[in-house]
Amino acid sequence: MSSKSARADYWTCAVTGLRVHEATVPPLLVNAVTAIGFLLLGGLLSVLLALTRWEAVHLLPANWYYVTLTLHAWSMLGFWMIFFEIAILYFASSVVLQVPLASLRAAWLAYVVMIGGALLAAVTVLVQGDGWDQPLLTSYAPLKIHPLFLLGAIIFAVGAFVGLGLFFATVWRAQRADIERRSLPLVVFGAVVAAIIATESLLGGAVAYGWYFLYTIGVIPTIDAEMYRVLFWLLGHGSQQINLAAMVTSWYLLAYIAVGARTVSEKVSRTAFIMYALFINLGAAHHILSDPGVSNAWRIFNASYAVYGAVMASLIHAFAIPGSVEWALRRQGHTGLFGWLRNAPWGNPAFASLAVSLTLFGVLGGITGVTFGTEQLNMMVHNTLAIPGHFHATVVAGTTIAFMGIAYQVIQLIARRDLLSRQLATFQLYFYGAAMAAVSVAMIWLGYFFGTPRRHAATAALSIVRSPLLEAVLGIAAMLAVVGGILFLALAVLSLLGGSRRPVGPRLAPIAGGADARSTSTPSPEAAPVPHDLSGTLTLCLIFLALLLAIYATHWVNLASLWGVR
Amino acid sequence: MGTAIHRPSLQPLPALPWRWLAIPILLSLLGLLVWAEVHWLPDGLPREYATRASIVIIPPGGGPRVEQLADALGLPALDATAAKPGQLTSTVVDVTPADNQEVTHAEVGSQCIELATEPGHPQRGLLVTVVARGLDHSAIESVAAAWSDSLTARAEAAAPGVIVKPLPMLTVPYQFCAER
Repeated sequence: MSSKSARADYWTCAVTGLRVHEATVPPLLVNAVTAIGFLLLGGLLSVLLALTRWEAVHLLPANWYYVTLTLHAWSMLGFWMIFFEIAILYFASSVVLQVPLASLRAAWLAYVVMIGGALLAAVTVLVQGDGWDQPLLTSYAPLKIHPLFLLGAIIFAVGAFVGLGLFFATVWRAQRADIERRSLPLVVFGAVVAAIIATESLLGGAVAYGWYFLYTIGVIPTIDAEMYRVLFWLLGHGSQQINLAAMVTSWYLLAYIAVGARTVSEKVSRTAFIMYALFINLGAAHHILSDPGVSNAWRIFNASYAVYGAVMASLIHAFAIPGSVEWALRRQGHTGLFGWLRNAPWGNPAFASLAVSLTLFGVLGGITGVTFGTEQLNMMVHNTLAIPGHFHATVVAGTTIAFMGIAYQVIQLIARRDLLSRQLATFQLYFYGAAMAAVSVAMIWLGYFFGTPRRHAATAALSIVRSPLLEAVLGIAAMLAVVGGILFLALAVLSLLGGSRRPVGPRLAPIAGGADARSTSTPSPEAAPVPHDLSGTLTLCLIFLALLLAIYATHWVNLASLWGVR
Repeated sequence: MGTAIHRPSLQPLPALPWRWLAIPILLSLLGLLVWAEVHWLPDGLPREYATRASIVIIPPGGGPRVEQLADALGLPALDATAAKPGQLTSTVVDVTPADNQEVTHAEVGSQCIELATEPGHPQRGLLVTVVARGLDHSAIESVAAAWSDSLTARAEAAAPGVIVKPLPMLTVPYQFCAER
């Protein structure tokens, strides 16, 4: 049954029909599993943090709160994301383009250097003692940051550079080998954009941390704190834009796997990706909107005009991806304004992760991103818990859930193991999404309506208005989210170890019905397919735009009332 | 002369029984959201208020040291819990009248400070802060004010010649004590 393809070192995925080079699988899986390990660590630490911010519990003393916050931030925003993105880049280059990785040695070298740097940074934070400041994520100069932490971060970035170089080399070789292919598949194109953004971000980070490292060991006497912050945010925010591009790429992939969706317009989707490459990293300026060392024109250009280019790209994807799903489901015969949506495969983990991730990212993360990134409105929330609320909506409710969906697919398609329970996997995605939505909303409201500061170990000692109710919601929701995260980890690991072996061989499922056509209901035979009827998606997008405008307007009203403008 | 462009994507919206009802329902929901964002969420969620009063106490020359003064006033011991010089040492104290149910928590902190009264000869003092929290803003304000008045009277009784003033009235630069 197991039919190897012509070349012995390839096997053919039974679902997608892609030829997978066997040697690609170990480094891809090791990066993905390492990422999941850091996700577990960061998730467990998040419980301690949430129970500390819940002042009725106030679990950790100040010093341990900051140690925990540093490890949580770097595990989640750094190590979980970058390791998994390297896995995605190997998938997008080697598996989708059906070529071997350009160098297996480079793949293992990248992994060893990355894990070495990550462990050095993490262990330093744990054992450095009270004589040093905790870097948190915002390791601003001239805080007394331990040089070994900075060295660890630099080493990690070097390893990621090797992985990025390997990705570019593999794509280049694949293009050279297939002269008939005029352009890259959309998923690979998105991954290339993510890799370009990653290169820019990691370069910025390496320069900033290299500079800071030389300062901490006394090689250079001074450091320009403002210029450092500009460079640092190329990494600090840029690393999250790698997530964004990788997440959108994952959405296209999940839509294809779930219902066989292909984008309605390749050109439009590709243009949106190019807009990310051009504009998204300039948006990092909104982190220094309150800094005195940059001009107002610089702030407004970067945080407004440039960001609008990136937001436009996101809005294009927000239309194109549901539109592609609608188009695919209408081709199967589903009619009505939302008939395609009612008959979508909600019980399929690939579709569930797409739906939850896209909705929460857009509604919670996207709307708050646009409003909080506006210079005037930012003054109401700068350095409050609303900002972590925003990026928990984007990075966790958005990116992490998309990556969870991809991880379930990697287990099935690359590791060739059946999930122990598809129902449980689907439930896990909805459960985790609901819990993270509650976490994000509680944080956003605490920051926006109560001014609760971020990065603070004991707000009860401050003379600020507090909301014990929202603090309790945050603490309880965070614990539920960790339960959802542990469920994901258990399902992933147990499926890898004990899931039924999936067959390899020629394509088994018709891709027109999606990689999982079984979970979609059968349309009536007289229902005629309507080409390019995207009225359902258009309606959803108009509702989303109305929501965005309403919330944007209310923020201006609240700003006016805050300052007493009559 | 031009050819009509066929746009298969522009299909008329399918007729649904709730088609016209959907628009007012959506608009109502949006209106509800706007009302919640502008009125209910900022004002309607249960909240706990806090107020803070800070007082500077400067012992007279030849009088008690700041540590002795803190001890005499029943303030948190400066050396007992501080991990670093100048760090706030605080304790939860009962400053709440027994019949006042609106004040949920009150905490007093004291710090050793050095005032730059003369170049090269900083004068040491105490910076005492009370933070009161509760459900009624005016109740906690009155508790903090009463406690501040009481502390001022006790300081003046404990060390004649002592200077006691609210922090905003301090005109001399100060910094936290570098060593104890």
